[in-house]
Amino acid sequence: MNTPEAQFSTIYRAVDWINGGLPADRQLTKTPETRLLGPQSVVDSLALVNLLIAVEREVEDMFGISLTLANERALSMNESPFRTIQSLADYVGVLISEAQNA
Amino acid sequence: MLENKVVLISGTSRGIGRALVEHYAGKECQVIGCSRSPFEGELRNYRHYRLDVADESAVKDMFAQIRKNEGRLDVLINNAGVASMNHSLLTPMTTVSKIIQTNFMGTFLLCREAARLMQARRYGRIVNFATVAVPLKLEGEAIYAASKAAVISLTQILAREFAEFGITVNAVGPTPIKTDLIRGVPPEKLELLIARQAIKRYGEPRDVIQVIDFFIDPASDFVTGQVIFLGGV
Repeated sequence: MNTPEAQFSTIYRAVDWINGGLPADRQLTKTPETRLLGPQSVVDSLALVNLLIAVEREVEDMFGISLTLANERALSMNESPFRTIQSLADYVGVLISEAQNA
Repeated sequence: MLENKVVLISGTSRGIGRALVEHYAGKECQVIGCSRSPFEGELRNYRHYRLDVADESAVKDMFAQIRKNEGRLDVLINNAGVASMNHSLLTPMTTVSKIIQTNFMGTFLLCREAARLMQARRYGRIVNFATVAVPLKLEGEAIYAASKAAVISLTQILAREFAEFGITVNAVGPTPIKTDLIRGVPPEKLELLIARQAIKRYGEPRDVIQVIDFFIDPASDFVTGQVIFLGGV
């Protein structure tokens, strides 16, 4: 089911995987407010790439859907969907919903 | 050392690709191949997909299947390629497009999808195909050589981008090998080309396999972004 709980659960599994390769002072906290972009973020651009790929993998495992998160749509949005875990979860939910209804 | 590795090879229906399949299947790897043509005959440890390497949807479907069936990918060998020997003034854009799509875009697409799969285990080996036509600056092969020059740049930059994921990216640059790829090239042109090599003979699939064996060896984890040209070019 494409619920907010399922979306967060998917992203948090990807966060766990990412944290496994990050030093203690750069670990991502599993909260909706966690910043993924900008000066307040603890992740650098490469870690963000890692996270997005891991989220795609978890979505495929959980929903059986192959998504590309960093697509032209995401890059052209006024506000990046990768700002926070909340905005990422919202975006993932929209993409899953679109794929399920296609 | 390579036993049970999951190896994906493109362009496997004939030529070097087929030789690579037989070599790695013989080493007890789980080999997966793809090409536009079917794979004639059956081989243990081998599964074939019929697709165009520049077809994003088909390629993504193949990787989804690999993920489902094997759960991982250890090695990608980007062998698929097309060539066309012609003076640039006589080269139609359809030919340019086909060569760039297969040789460059296909290589990029497979590298990208493979790295996504390899990233999960923080391990991978990718080998791309260059050609001696790049350093030799062969007349009549402007588009083919340009597409392979792009593959060399791609290899060297992906090596840096993928290093953090434990993935190495290297390239092998074969000399002419008697396969379908050079079937349309006049023999006198090939003799001229071979005369410019340090070792003046046609290449053999085993020459290419030797280099790939080195690149994909698990112990070659400090070797990345390299291009090895055969024949002393």
